[in-house]
Amino acid sequence: MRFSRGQDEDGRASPVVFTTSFIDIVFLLLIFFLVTATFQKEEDRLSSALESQSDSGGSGADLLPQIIDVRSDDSGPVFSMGERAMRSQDELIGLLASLPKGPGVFVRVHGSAPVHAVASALQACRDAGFVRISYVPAN
Amino acid sequence: MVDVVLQLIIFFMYTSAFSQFTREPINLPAQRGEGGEATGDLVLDIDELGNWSIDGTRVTPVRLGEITRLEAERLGIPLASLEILVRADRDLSAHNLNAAANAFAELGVRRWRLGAQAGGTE
Repeated sequence: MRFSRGQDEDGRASPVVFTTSFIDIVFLLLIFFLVTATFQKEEDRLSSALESQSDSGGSGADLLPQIIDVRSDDSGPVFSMGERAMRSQDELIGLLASLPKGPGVFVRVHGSAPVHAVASALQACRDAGFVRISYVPAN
Repeated sequence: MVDVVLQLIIFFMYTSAFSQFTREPINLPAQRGEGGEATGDLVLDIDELGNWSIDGTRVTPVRLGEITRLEAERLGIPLASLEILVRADRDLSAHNLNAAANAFAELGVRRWRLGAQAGGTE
């Protein structure tokens, strides 16, 4: 590397670094970070316990298990609890809000349902105030 | 001028999420979520075709079992304490999700998390 020599206060020769081309490097770095920046959407999570179909039905603590069935038909996802069938997350939240939270809730997922309907049901349980949420894959 | 440019560079260097590069781009279901980070001891991706992958590598149910056990051993925790994050395509049939749930349940995993795109509702 070539350094030109300037003079310090004492008259001694001292190396001088030309920084003119430094701006080019800085701009290149800026362009690199601008191009490679990925503004990814933030991800969140929906936690649940994992249960098998056989585990969920016969436990002594679950005398009256509260089960939401998530399935899909020609009109889209359906959430059902007992006889009542709901199409929207808000309806489901409304029903779940009136239920006791202590026993928890089972979300029984049928293979026909899309993943977004499952997420919708899990979110509804959380929004209604349930802490104990169990995921049960339907046979 | 150069000061501003340097500030921008520092900003981009600081905010670049290099750890996110390992995550597969998956169309997650949009939900509000729990308000926590979408992290787990093990992250299973299920794409729109139903393929399972971990860190971008396709896995079979058998291989998933091996990796899950190894991860629990590495962390020195029982399988029941392992935190699994499943990132599944929003339009995928839950049949695929159930297959993963059954595979984890058979291994002894007791809790899992479903990944969601934060801030939205379906």
